[in-house]
Amino acid sequence: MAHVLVVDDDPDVSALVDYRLRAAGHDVMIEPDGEAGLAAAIARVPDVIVLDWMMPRRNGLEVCLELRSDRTYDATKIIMLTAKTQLHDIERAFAAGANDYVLKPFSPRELAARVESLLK
Amino acid sequence: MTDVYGVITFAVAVAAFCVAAATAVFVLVLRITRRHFAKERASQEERLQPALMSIIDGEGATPASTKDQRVLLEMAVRAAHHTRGADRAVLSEWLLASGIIEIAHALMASRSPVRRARGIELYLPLAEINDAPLKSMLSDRDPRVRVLACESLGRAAALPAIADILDATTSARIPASVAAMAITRMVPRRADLLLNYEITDAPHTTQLVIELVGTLNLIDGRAAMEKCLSDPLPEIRVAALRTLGRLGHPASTSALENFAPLSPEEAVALAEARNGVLGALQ
Repeated sequence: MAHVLVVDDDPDVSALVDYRLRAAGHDVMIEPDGEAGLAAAIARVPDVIVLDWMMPRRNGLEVCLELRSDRTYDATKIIMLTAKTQLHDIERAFAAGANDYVLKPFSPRELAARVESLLK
Repeated sequence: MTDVYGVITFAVAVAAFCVAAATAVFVLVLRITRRHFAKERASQEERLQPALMSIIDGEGATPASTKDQRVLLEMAVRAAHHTRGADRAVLSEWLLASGIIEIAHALMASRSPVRRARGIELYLPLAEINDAPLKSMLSDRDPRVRVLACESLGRAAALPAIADILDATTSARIPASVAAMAITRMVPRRADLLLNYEITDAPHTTQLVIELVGTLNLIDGRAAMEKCLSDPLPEIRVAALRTLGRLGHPASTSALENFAPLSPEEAVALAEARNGVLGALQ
């Protein structure tokens, strides 16, 4: 069982991800914005973070960069879950240290499979 | 006389105070009522969350009341907006079995624009099966409903609706900015989806199409853009130059070399286009 932090300002998306990951046996925590997501990651280092890009307070890319600048989170896998479809956005996300990139609308089953794959 | 003025002033002050107090009370009651309904709705949705998940798991759900059924329908519609693949398919199937088409059609035929807008929202997850009802809403009598229909077609990535959106832009039923956003959201991969549209009669639509070819980097639209360089309208020529610069294809070099600018704006756009092509070559 892994500890997964889901950071997304859309409660519908969070609920879908939460449901699928819990069904896969993971311990899930949900936060509604970048600032709260960072605080939660500091309080307990997650194994995987599912991170939205466009969020209030701090966006997902900033959160990703901040986490990757701290060696504590070297083992934490980050999946960007976003509606940003442009190639240069995908490149920016990977350059910032994301391990995977999932486009919205998304398949919650596929996302759960990607989480499993990153945990292996 | 002074007394009369004093009485009138006092009466006006009291009346103003009463109006202000009544407005304040009204706003307060409105806020409390809205908060109450929002809270009630949130708790209802929380209660129905397992039912929604059971639908996604393909087990279906039978809500206890009509009100629950309505809320669950809306939750399923929202969930379908966010999902794709097997989860989306199972949600669409449940929505169809729950009579969503009939409900949405009834709402879209309503006299109230708010209800027609709600009908569009409900129908959205089914747009990929049949986008005709949404396309027909592009001709709605209310401009806000038309804009929502256009945005919804964009969200549904209904590529075959591009021609209808451009038609609506030509006849000024949809603002060009809204059409541009909707089409960008659809992410068309081929320029012919835009260029198949007959654009000669509507310069603002032609300009929109040219800009979209550049924004979406539809390289197969290059030849059509080069043809637009000989358009009689300066705004079309400038838009085509900018798009050619964005596409930055080396094959555009000769078309740009042969282009003679007729205004300072065209000269600037030409320089930008040449830079774009040169940048791509380097």
